[in-house]
Amino acid sequence: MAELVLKIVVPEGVKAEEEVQMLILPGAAGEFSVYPNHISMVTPLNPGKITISFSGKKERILATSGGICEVDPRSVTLILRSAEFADEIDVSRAQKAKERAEKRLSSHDEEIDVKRAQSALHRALIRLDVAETLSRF
Amino acid sequence: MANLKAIRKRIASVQSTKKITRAMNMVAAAKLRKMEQRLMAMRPYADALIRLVEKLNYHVETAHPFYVRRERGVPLYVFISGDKGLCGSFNSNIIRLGRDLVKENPGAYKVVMGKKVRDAFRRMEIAVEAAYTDIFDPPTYHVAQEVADFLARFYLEHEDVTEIIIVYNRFKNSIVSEITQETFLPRMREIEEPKRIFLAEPDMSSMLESAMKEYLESEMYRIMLESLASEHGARMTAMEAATDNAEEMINELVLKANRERQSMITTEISEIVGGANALQ
Repeated sequence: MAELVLKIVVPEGVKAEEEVQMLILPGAAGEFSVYPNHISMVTPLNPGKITISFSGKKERILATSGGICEVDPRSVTLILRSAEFADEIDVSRAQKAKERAEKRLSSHDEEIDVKRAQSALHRALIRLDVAETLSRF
Repeated sequence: MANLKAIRKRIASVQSTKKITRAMNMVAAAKLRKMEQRLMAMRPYADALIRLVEKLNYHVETAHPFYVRRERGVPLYVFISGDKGLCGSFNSNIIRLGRDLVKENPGAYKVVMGKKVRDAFRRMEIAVEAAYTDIFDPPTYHVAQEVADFLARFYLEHEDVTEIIIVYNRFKNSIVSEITQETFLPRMREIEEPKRIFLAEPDMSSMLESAMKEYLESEMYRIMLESLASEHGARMTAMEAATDNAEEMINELVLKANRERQSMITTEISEIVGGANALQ
C-alpha cells in the first residue's frame, strides 16, 4: 500500500519526518483523516490531538496547540506552533496548568483575560488527554 | 610600607574583577551556543511557512497587501538593542545608527525593542510608537508574536508607511555580527513556483492571511534570536578583552610590588649596616 511522508515542523526544529499510513488531524471544522493520494489541500489546525498510524497497526499520538496543515498526494507537512508526543508530556505540569486556569476562570475577577484562560485550560486538557493514551497500551 | 600594602590591595581587587569577567565570558559563550542551535533549529519551520505563503499567494486573485509596494510616505524603523550592557559596541552602534536615521527621516515612525535603545531614545527625547523591553531573558515566541502582530496591524492602518525596516545586529558568527537594515514589510517574492491547483479550507485568502501571520511571527522571532546571539557574541569578545586587560594589569602590579618590596629590604639593610657602623 502506498505510504505518506509526514513532516512535522515546529519553531524548535523538525519534530518528525517519516513514512506513515494514515493521520487523524484536528481541523477547524472537526477531526478529519488523511490517507495517501489525498487531494492537495491547505487547512488550519485547531489545538488538539494528532493520531499517526504506521504500517503494522502501530500508533503514535501528539498534542498540538494548532497550526497549518499542507496535504499533497504523497506527503503531509504539519507546520505547528507546538507539538508533543504522548511520552514527552510533563503530566504534573499540565495538571498544574489546568488547575491554574480553572482557578482563574472561577475567580470571577474582572481583571482576568477569560479567553486566554479558556485556551490555556483547553491546551492543558488536550495534553492530559494525550498523556493518558500512554497508560492505555 | 603603606605603598606596598596599597599595591597588594589593588592586585587583589583586579584579581576578583578578572574572575568576574572570565565568568561572564564563559556564560556568554554558553548562551551563544544555545542561541545558535535555536537559530538553526527554527529554519525548517520558517522555510515551510514562506513556501506555503508564496504558494497561496499564486492562488488568490488580488495579491496580499503585504506584497504591494507603496509609493509615497515615510518608513517605520524598528531598532533592536539588548536589555543589558557590558557587550562592547553592540548597543551603541544601534543607538548611533538610530539617531542618524531619525535625523535623516524626521517624519519616520519609530519602534524600539530592548532597554538600551529605549533609554537612549528617551534621553534624546525621541518619541516612539511602541517600546518592548525585558524581552531577551529568555526570548519567547509570545513576544515575537506580539511585536509582529503590532507591526502588521500598524502597516495596514497607516497608509503612509512605505516600508517597515528592522535595524539590528545580524548574526554571522561568534566574532562577527553586522548591523543590518532589513525590510520586514512589504515582502518580496522569493520563490517562483508553477501554479498548482489545490483545495483550501475555508478558502485561499483566509488561509493566506493566517499563513502570513505565522510567517511574520516566525521572522520576528528569528530576528530576535539573531540579535541576541550577536549580543552574546559581543559580550563574549568584550569580556575576553577585559580578562586579558586584567591579566596584564596584574602582571604590572606584581612587578611594581616586587620592586617596592626590594627597595624596602635594601633600605632596611642599609639602615642596619649604617647602625652597626655607627656603633663601632
